[in-house]
Amino acid sequence: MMQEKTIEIVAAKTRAEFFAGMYEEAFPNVARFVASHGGTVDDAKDIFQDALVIYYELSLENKLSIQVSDRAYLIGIAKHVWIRKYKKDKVAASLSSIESTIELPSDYFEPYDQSLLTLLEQTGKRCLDLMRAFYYDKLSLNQISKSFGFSGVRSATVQKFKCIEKMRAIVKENSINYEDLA
Amino acid sequence: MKTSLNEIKQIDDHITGQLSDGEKLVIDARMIIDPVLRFNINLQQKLYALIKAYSRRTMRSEVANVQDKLFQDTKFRNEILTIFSKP
Repeated sequence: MMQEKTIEIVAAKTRAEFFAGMYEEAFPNVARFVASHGGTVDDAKDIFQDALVIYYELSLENKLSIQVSDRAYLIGIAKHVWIRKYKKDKVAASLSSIESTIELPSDYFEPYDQSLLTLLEQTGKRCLDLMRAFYYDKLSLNQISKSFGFSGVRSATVQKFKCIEKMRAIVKENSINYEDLA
Repeated sequence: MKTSLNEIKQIDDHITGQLSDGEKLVIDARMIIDPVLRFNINLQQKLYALIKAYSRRTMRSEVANVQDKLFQDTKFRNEILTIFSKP
């Protein structure tokens, strides 16, 4: 069941449709939760955006429980995001027993070098998009070959490593603190 | 593939957990005695963290676009705003 869902949402067009459906199904509930805890409509929007991104990641890693509906799961994730981002008390959020078992990705709120990422975008956005397809969207080599217009799987693989080589050099040249990498 | 690309592939396999136990032992041992390899592994890990941050940022934009479209719908927008206008 979850496997089918994963396949459905990796394609960008279906993903947008899936997200729209989830907004209609779950956003009013999350908005009521945020409003009842003193938050604003912008807080609710902010939380829901992160919740959908996290939902997507967990679905690709098959970490969603099949015993819970998509809607319930997403609402649970949103409550966890609210606790984490707005430093709220877990008890005040009144999490259900199933919601309590949800774990957000441990690195989701970790800071990163924004100026270095901007530099990577400026010098090779296509490489970053290719990397996203490989590592984040976890698309198959065949899917990547087709969507990026490579002649085949081998060409896609070689291009991937060339991109890493190029971007690794940029990270090296622009790392302020070499001691972190030693 | 060129030698440097082979090294990148090997580090990629190491970071993404695709090495066999034996291969992992070899690379762990090499990391102890080879500071250049250690440096390159850390460099590649730093790059992967940036790729993840980029992926999340672009995914969040996709979600925000969907949200903006939905909020252009008067019925949906009013339904949500009513929730926040209650005393």
